[in-house]
Amino acid sequence: MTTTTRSSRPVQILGWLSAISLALTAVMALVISPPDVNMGDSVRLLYLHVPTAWLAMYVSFGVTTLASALYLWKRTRSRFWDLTAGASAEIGVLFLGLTLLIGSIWGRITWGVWWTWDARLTTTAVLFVLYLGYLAVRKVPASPEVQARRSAIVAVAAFLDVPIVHQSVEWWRTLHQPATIGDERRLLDPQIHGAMAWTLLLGVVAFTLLYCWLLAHRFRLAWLEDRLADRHLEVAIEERRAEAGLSEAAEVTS
Amino acid sequence: MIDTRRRLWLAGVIVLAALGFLVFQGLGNATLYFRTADEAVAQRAQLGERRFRIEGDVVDGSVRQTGNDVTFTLTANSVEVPVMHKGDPPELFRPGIPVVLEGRFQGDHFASDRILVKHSETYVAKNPERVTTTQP
Amino acid sequence: MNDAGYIFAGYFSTFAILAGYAAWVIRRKRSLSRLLRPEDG
Repeated sequence: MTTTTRSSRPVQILGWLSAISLALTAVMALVISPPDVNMGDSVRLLYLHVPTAWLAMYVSFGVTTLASALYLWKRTRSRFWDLTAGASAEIGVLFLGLTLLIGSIWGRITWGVWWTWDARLTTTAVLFVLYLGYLAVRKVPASPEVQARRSAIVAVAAFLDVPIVHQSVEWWRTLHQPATIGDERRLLDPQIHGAMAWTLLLGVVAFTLLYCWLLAHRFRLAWLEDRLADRHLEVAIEERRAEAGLSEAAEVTS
Repeated sequence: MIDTRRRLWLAGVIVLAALGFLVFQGLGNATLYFRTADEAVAQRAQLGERRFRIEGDVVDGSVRQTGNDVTFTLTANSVEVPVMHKGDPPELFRPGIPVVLEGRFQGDHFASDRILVKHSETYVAKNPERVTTTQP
Repeated sequence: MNDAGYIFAGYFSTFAILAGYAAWVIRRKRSLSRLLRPEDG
């Protein structure tokens, strides 16, 4: 095994850190943190639901939007931003899928239903489908420039749903509870008990580390795929040239 | 090439159909997810026998379990609505909590067939004194 | 613990899905870099 197939030292360290912090989160969430006075033990799903939601909506899709904007801006246009946008969106879709999965289980044991069409759940489902659509658009064949440009436009448009999801619990009546943390009216006094807040914070840190590690690997994979596509294109051109050369040669000899 | 293109068209159509369905659901449902008990009473005539969601607090001491049914009183802004629910209430159902019910008006009461237990955005430890000892 | 089945199922499936995704990315990365290397120089 040569060094090129291995990840770099900082990425390896990042991998270990995220594995350790995720394990700690699981221990804190399942063993050490207390049950909620109303929700009982089901509150333990909070420590997966909220970090995956934040990482998907704000970090992953945020990075995708930023990278897409940098691609669209002529002065910063490069393949790097296009590949970053695609890699980050895929991880975001994965995290948002987990948010929906955990939310559904949580809903089953607290509300009593797996799913309901309230504004928060509906707008989140829309967000999930929008980014699935973005990933599909990235695969529609075209020249690399056209592909990257139209993907970037779709990415920026899809992000418009993120503030709608965020505000949905304020704008409409929902079964889903409003935000506990990050609510501007209670920024310094979030309504969550100490040990629960610490576990949630640890969860966010763990998932952020995991996101960075996954992004490093997924970006590298996207870069390799890109190189391979270029290589195939070169080979195809070479072959065509060779064929043309042959037929020319055949014409000359005849 | 033709195959990939056809598959991509198919994927696009599926995504658009899914979005259309979600937006339709959203417009029909999500914007007015529930009516509070007092609003529902005020709109009683318009609502008729229509199915809708009603929200309010379960009045303390009003819960009676009879065989397969549960009866209780729902209140919002000091307007009370008697409720008859068919089936078992969910685990977290108890007096004093806010709930959303699905069903329709039937005579003098609201006939519910689904209870959704709302929960607030506050998280309070069950045994705070136990926690302080194990806190890191 | 109440609803232990649901809660453990949630944690288990989350970590399983994440591990599966990470393994897929790394495996594919390795096979692609092996494919590219001979001509890379």
